[in-house]
Amino acid sequence: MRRLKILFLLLFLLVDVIEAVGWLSVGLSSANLGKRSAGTFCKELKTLNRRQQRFCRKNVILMDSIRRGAQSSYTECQYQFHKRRWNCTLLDPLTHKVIGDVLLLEGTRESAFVHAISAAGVAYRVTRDCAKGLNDACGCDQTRHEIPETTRETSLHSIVPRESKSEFVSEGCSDNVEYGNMISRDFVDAAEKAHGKQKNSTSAQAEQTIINLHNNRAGRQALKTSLRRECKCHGISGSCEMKTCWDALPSFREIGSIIKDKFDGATEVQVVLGEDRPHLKSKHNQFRRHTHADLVFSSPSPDYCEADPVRGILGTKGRECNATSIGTDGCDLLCCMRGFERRVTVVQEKCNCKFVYCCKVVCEQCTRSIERFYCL
Amino acid sequence: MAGAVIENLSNQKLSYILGLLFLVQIAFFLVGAWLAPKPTSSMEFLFRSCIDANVTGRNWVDHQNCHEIELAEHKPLSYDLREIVFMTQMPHKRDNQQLRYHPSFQFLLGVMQPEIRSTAAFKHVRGSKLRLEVRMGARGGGDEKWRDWIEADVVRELDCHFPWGHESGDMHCDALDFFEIGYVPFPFYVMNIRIPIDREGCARDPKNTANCDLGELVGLNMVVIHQNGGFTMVWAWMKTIVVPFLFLTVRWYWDRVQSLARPPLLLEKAIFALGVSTTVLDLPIEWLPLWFERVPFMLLLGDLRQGLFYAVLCSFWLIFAGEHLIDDPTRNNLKSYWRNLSLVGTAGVALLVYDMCERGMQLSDPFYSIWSSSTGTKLAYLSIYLATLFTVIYFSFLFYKIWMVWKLIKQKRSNQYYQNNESRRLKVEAIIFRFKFLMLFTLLCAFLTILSYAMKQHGEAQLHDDEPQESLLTNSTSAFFTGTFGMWNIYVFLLLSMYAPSHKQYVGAQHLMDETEELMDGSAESNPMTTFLKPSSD
Repeated sequence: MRRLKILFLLLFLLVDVIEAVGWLSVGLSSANLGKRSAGTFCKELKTLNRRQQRFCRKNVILMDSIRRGAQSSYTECQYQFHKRRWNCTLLDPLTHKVIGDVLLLEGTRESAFVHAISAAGVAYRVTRDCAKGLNDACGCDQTRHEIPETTRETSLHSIVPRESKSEFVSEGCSDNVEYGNMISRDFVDAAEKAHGKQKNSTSAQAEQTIINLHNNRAGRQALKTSLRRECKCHGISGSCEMKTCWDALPSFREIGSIIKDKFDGATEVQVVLGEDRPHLKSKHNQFRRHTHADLVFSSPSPDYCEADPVRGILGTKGRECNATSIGTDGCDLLCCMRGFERRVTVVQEKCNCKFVYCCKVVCEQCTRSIERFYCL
Repeated sequence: MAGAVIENLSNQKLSYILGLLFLVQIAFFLVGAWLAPKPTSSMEFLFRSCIDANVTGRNWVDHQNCHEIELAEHKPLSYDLREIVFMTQMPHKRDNQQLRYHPSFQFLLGVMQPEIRSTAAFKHVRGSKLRLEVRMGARGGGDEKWRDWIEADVVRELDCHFPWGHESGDMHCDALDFFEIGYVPFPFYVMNIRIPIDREGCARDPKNTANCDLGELVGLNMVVIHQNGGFTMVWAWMKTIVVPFLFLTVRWYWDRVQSLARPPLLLEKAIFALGVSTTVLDLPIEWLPLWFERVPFMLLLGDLRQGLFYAVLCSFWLIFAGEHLIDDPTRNNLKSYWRNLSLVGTAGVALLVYDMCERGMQLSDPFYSIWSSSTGTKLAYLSIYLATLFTVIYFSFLFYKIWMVWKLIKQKRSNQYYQNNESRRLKVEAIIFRFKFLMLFTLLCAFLTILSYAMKQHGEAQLHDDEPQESLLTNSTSAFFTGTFGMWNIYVFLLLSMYAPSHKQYVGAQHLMDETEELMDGSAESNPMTTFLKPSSD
């Protein structure tokens, strides 16, 4: 009887763990708040864990931004990896379920990337939507009241309403990425904290939680360091005697590239249980120590060559490859030396278009054959 | 100026006064550091792209009636894409409250940052022009509807480049000066922008037609800057408190000069002019927007007052150095300075022309920029280069003159006649001391101004960092503003009070440094300031 209980518990935990990045599927749901209550709306987002459900009910107005943040993270991930064997297919387009189990359980490099880009994506989108005026709940510049992330206990109540009106008249409200980062911390990290805090979670899960949280933070750090400081001089005759500066967000593509660079230079670590709190230690001492801004992973990635549905690996069979490239998208590497096939398709295209006055465009029909290569 | 106050002041008294003024200076600095928030704030506005098929209508698109679209997925409804309205409302809601702009913000400056993507289908051509049809509406606190406020057709040249290592995709575009409004009469504003595309023009002459070679417009991003109300209050109160003191000092000074038995000297007039221009600079007109609704000229007026002060200060230095060329026979005559002063005048007029063309024009059209047209750019460059050139010549000339005075001082001291004649020696020593004192004090003020300018630049350029290592110095831009302001006021105050004719002598006072003057009675011999200087002259 006792054994059965433990088994049941383990199963339950497994489900919980699988949903660690499960919230990413929020991005595919077309759910809109509409006229539903916050409660029913949040319940429909089944992939959220309990803490995230609570966040959703409290900040339901932010869920649309988070949804679009998840979307852009996923798009960016697929763009950054479209030339590699693992091409960031995480969600089953039919079932809307996360399929990349390897990511969640094994703590690979790819898992590190997904955690970082999704944390950055949520922060980015929330910040942008605040600048658009879509979220009334956005806060002002939090830097003055902020405690550094390392010592701060993440809480869901951290958005304290202040006397913004009079404060705005007196000292303004410079909004920057801080608010977005705070939401990302509250929502994305909640996915990890839920089981990280459970007493009977296994040590492997606790370790994975620490690594995931680190990577989430590295993603947000990448967003912060990508900010460009722009200034305007407006003193006498436009001189720089008076100068006001602000932080401009770059495009999300730039942030994706930064995190991709961090992916390439990620550090393999193990979790060491110290006296007070567990910390991450590099497995290879000869390398430089990782910083808060670096991505870390705990287990080596598989080669992603053959399909392994149980582990969530799709394999590279049938993927299009580049016969002339010697990079990761070249047919040799991408197809894992299994060989590839050439397919020629003939397409009809508009060509030799002319602008006729006024006002239409007249084109001819041309046929063109396109040569493509696919992995066997 | 036989016997200015400074010559008849004991060392002890002078050091007390300087010490007191030093404390006042620190107080100015602390007022800025403790009481005032940052001088300015910015808020970012990302325009929403909405559909409004009613192209010619006068209706306003705001957050309530915006039918938002994805620009990349939009299928054009009209030939010129006028149905797309870029909309934003100012200010934002924050912490679930609608923020309001306040008249104490003094000005609103808008900076536009278009987000441009260059792809194979839509290639961005360097130097292409962006043309925006801007309508700005405003709403009072009790109003239900937006009222028409400003309409403008804005053309700006883009300056975009790819981030390092990219050849296509998203570009970095330099921020464009968008608008400058010298007052903030309403709490709420709405902005509607349409970006029409003249396809025939584009087919015919894409180079000179705006909006043709933009590339793909991803979005419009605007940053609006205003002066913080808290800073305005501290600034206005500070001026309100300082201005009576300065006014009384100027009056006292002029009374003293007037009660002399001779007409005022040029140097005395120059000091008086400096006092008046500083009083004008100190007038707390920052209160005006709080009392009256329509005062759109705050930015221009601020520039004019500051410009006047700088021009008078520069002229004063020139005259002061000139009047200390003891043997120069052309002294005490404004006409003999016309060549030198025309340097200051030309530089001042050049900057005035620029300012009137930029901020003066902005009174009628806040979206006007002299830099947006090619003739305007030429004129702007001409006036700025001219002003810079003349400023450089001015300072070289000023330093040359100061060097001449130093040389003269040395020469005088080694002079035989000067060594033998005790009263003559004391007289010259007094002049030397007066000159040296002001020189050192001016240099100190100039150095501190440059330092505070550097600190302001440094403080602003810092990236936001939520680590507590941020030092006090980088955080207190306001302290450098109030500190510099206080310092120049103290400078003028000290000039007025120290270089006023001393009452100990003024009844019988004659011309400044009159060679034939019957010199130095007993009181001058016991003058501690001249003896104070003695060791340095030996």
